[in-house]
Amino acid sequence: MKKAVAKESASALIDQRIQDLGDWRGKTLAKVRALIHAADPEVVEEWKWMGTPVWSHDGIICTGESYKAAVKLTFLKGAALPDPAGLFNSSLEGNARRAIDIHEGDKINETAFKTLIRAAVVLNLENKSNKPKASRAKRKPAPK
Amino acid sequence: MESTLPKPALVAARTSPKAVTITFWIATALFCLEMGFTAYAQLNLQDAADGFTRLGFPGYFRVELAWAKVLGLLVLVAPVPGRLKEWAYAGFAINLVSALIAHFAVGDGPEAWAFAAFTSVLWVVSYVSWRNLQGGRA
Repeated sequence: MKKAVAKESASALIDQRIQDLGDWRGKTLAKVRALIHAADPEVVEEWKWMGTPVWSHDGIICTGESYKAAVKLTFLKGAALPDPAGLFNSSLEGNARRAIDIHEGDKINETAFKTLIRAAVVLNLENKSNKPKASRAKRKPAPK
Repeated sequence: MESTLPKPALVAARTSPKAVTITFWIATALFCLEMGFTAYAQLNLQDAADGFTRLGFPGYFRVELAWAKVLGLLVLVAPVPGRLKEWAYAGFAINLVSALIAHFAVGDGPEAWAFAAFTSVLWVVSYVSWRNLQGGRA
């Protein structure tokens, strides 16, 4: 039920979402998708929670929701990421997540965005070495 | 404007107690299975935990809610006083309404909130039939 869809079909579902949106939102989603791939060639596309495009690399980098008035990129661990360019403009009160709302006509600071994507990947890789589990029940003892 | 729809409790009153009992147990069993599964998922599956983060809930709330679900479903099926069951039903009602609001708030489509909506229907059937078995006393 909450299983992520297989890679190929996830990418196809994201293609479909871009096509279904059709307007500037589809173009925006396609644009950020291209930027994410440019920033991290090893990125994995996923489709989670019955309808949300997700980009991952050893954990979620960001999600790509589409609203009526905005395309929203939610970084689940955004609060822990450096954002000197001030890209985050939404969910600023979140204790873990941060989001970027892109409205019609907004210009994306591509260099800063790609840097942010890479920082999110680095954070995921750092967390991988001592991966936080959703529950303590499954935690394996650390290797000596 | 007088509603022509009879109250659910009145409809149930005309059905045999046995039918109500069967309805209650089917709805309640399905409801508890779903709640049990989601409680397990949000404690043990990374995807479910990420989903909570995406909806904007803190980690401790995810754990709290999961254990509350476990307690609630135990109360629903255990032979405990009716007043306790009312509390469990109330808790689940708040849980389900909040889940739907959370999904709407992040702009999720029907495929994402259908699960909570279907569980809400089971909640209604379970609650109405339970009240009926109680003798429908308000």
